[in-house]
Amino acid sequence: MNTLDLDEELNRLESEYKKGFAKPLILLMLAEKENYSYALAKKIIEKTSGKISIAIPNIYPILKSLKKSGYIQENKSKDHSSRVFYEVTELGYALLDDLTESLQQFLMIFSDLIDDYYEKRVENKK
Amino acid sequence: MNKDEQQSSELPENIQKYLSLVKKHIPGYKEIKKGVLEQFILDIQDAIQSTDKEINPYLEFGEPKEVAANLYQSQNWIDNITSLKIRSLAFIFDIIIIGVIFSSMIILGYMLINYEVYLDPLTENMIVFVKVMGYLCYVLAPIFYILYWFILEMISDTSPGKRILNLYVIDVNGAKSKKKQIFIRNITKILFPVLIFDIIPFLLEKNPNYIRVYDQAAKTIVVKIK
Repeated sequence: MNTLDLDEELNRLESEYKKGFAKPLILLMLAEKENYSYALAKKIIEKTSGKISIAIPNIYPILKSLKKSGYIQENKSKDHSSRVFYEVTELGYALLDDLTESLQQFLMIFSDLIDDYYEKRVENKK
Repeated sequence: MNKDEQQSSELPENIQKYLSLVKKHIPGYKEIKKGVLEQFILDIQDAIQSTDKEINPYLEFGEPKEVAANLYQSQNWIDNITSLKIRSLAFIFDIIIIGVIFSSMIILGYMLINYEVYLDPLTENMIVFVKVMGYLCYVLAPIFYILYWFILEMISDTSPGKRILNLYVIDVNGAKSKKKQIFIRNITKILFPVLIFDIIPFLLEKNPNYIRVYDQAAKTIVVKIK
């Protein structure tokens, strides 16, 4: 496998796992402050220092799915424009409480696994 | 000009072209497309206002087809698959509409060809004209029949009978269905015997939300769009 293939594979893997984090990420952002699609997309870029970005049109189906499950709700804009704002519901906060705990455990496990990997790589190089 | 049209017309030309490409991939009538695009247009306006440079919509939002896919996935259309009862009702409406027009054309053709019975003696030129019109009705009736089932659905994603009940034929993924898909799902309208492949599984399944074999083959669904 050459470098180009490796880069492609890395991009594919990154894209796969980032997709899995899209819903929790959007929920976390909305838990901070109710927001609308465009501002949400910009906030994700800003908060993750550009490491994660979700194209605006990709946000719509995620918002729909979260709304359908009852984790977020739609609010009409206060300035009487047709803009729709989204905010986390009580059910959404309950989900986030459990989800953040589970995510933290998951990240800790992965962090340990990555540390083990680095240690082994260093040993092998010696 | 309504609010949505005003919103779109205020956008730069390249964005308007881009939006028209996105619209092409969204099923349904103009009014429905407006509803789907409303939030997206607001987001585009925000994106334009956030920079002094001209934005490239392809880079900023993605390919029109993908954008359309996300927009229709954000709707509830796919969740509103119509029951067989409602689809049958739409079919009855269609049969009534098509029956009235088709039989009127055939009767008119017959009356014109047999003009002697219905009209006063005519001049030679009038006889030719009336007979040609009569045969034209015979030719146009089946063309109308084909146009009704195939072309109308290809253009507007619905037939008049379905339109009455706000039903639309869309791709299983929610996209606008392709011509080939419409042809496959309507094949029973011209090859009546193949309808048997629809009836047998339905009788065996006894499912009120049964999806026709030809809809399954075409990968289309009939949904209610509010």
